[in-house]
Amino acid sequence: MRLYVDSAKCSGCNACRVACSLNLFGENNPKKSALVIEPHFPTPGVYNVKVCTQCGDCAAVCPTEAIKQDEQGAYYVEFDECNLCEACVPECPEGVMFLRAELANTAWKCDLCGDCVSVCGTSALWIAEIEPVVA
Amino acid sequence: MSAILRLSGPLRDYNGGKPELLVEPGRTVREVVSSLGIVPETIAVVVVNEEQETKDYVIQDGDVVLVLAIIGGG
Amino acid sequence: MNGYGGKILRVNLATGAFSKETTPTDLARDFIGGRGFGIYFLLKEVPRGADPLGPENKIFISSGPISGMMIPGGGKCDWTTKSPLTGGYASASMGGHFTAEMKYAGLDSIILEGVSPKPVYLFIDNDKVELRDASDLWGKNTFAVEKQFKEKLGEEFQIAVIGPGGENLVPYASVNHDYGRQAGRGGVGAVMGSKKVKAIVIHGTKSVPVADVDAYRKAGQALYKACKEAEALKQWTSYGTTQVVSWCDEVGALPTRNFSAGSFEGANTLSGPYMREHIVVTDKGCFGCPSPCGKYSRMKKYNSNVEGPEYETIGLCGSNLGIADIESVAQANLLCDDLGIDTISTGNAIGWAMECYQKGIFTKKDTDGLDLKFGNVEAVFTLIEKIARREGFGALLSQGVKRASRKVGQGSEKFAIHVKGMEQSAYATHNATAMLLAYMTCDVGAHHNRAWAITYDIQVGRELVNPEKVKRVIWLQNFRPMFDVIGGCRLQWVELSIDRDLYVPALEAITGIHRSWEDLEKVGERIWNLTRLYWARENEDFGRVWDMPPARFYEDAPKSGATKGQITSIENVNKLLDMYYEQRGWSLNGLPTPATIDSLGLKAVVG
Repeated sequence: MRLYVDSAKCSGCNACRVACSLNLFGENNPKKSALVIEPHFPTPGVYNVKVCTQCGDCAAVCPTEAIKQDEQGAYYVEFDECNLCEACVPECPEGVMFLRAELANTAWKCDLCGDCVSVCGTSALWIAEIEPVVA
Repeated sequence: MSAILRLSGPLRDYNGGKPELLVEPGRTVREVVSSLGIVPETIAVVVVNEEQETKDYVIQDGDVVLVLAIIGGG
Repeated sequence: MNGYGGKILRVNLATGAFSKETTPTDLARDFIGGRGFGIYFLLKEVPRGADPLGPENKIFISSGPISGMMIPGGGKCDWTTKSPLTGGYASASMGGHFTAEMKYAGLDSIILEGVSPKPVYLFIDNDKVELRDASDLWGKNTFAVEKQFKEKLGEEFQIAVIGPGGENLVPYASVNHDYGRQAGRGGVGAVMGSKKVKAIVIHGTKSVPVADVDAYRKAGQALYKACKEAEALKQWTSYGTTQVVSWCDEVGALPTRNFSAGSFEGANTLSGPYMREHIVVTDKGCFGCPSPCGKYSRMKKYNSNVEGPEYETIGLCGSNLGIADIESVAQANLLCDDLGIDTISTGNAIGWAMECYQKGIFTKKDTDGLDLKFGNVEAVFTLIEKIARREGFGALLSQGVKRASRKVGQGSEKFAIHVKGMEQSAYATHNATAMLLAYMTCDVGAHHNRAWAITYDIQVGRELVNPEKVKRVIWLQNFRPMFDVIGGCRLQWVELSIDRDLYVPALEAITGIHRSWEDLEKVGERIWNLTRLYWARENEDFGRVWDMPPARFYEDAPKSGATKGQITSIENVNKLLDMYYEQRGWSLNGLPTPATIDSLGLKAVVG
């Protein structure tokens, strides 16, 4: 399972990012969230959203094995085991691996909690089976 | 022969609180809502089978007609 | 303090000094936030008789407890000041993302005081606060300046910026943000311009403290669920406020040719569905909003983009000017936003000018050669530019219709469509007594958003003049602005019909204070009386005469459209006011009585 997004439906409201930070850290702070909304204004006037595709590239490169998989198969960061080495951040093809030391003592990423989907009013986000990538 | 009339929030008061009722086809939306006691001018939008129509649309067999009230605006 | 940024930032523009004070708990308890803070500060800190464009006036920008939170509509901040347009209370609600960033920077209010000796912009990044030189930005349009800041500082910064309109002190100049949101009405942009503040740029990374995180998450999710399940969501998101264009035309509320009628023959090409089909690109929303009303559009004809036009702009810059082409209305919208002037006042002023031209009060000699006929799109574009720059014929219109019509005379005051000097927004009220009363008694002038009562009129009988109608208007006035006070938007309740009681546990979980809607409306009633007292304090002759509507609505029945031949009588206008004052606990001249002030616990505030 993984998170999917249709950027064309995104209104830039950021409710997903607040929901995410509340899930990951129990805090109201969208800067501590695990998805990215890129506004492109004034032209063409659209938002581009990046979400974790559960590719596992981050886990593959983590030297402390802090990035694990849960029962759903979703990758998540075990905060206590992260040593802030930042090896994972450039590995992420979507740019949704985060490390901002001034905000948290750990790297963080999407753990597929689904709270973002519940608060997305335009149904731009949904969770579904991972589609095999056609080469 | 029947169609479904669906009422948005505040309009359900005119249907005993229920969101839906079956109606006979052949009358306009205007006539049908008036018969429920709804002032037709308080309806903002009529959506029939996902397409926007006017209040003078004649309801056909099998239509799903959603009427939305203007309640607040601006 | 749970639910709050925690600090009030004061900026002394004359000396360049900053100070931060902790937001007082009793201020938060009694006035909650947003426009509640606004009126408290305005009464307390701007001395009686202050020149709105002088050093004694201040701008109070306030977020609220739901701003920046996982609550539908948590995206509004209030801008309160003394209005250069009306000489009274101004409060403009700005959407987008600015208010959220205020909370993340730890701020509940930003207070701009005094006048800067040279153009500056206010830079806020968490605890770092600076006034920076804006001399190379002065004179630039709002879109270019915002883009420049975003490129230089990053997308996380939120920008509020004035254009030439504000710099030139146009009394209805706006503040612009996020390429399409404004603190639009009452001239807040001009006050900012008078202080030589070009922009405020803000960034914060703090978490907002919350009383009960688990309860908050649960209550917030319940609100979003209710919005997502609302029957009206899909239609509303498709069209936003433009949803109402066809209906207003149908019932005679669409302002047409300077409010001379309420139905427009070109309404079909201004409608929500028509607009969506032809120009809309993206549904754009404010912070936390599940029902984005912003319709970001592309105008191929002009090779430009704008967020809008929304209903008000379609009304005032479309049908009100005899213009039926939605792309042209969108372009007029863009020009106003980019130059930084309010689309509503601008469209209303141009409509007045067009009627003067039609009647021969103005000729081409007066209009700088512009053929100011209703429907002349190019003339409108040219005039918008002249108004923002206060050049030529634009200089007269830039003063607003009250001053302009007084200068010009020749009967033009009769069709200057304003109340208290604020141009009426986009509902024609020829025979709609609750909406008429709403405009008459609105606390900033003729604005619709306090008590949107036009559907109530249609529902119960538009011509009726009875205590129930008055009671309805008063309830709406006590209730709807409370969304501005808690730092959010009312449209989820208004348009999606969600149960407003869903907000109660959310507010309590965030702030730790339980407030029912009855409690909130009580605060609303207090604020309403305070804003009334502010008007009275600032204007010697303030009273009933200030509440009178434009003569058009009791003398000049439309000759066409749904309200053809319909008008409210002057007797009924006065009857409405009599009932309103009585129900409000005000004198026959419309002033809160000492007993009312006392019973609302306001003696301490107003002395």
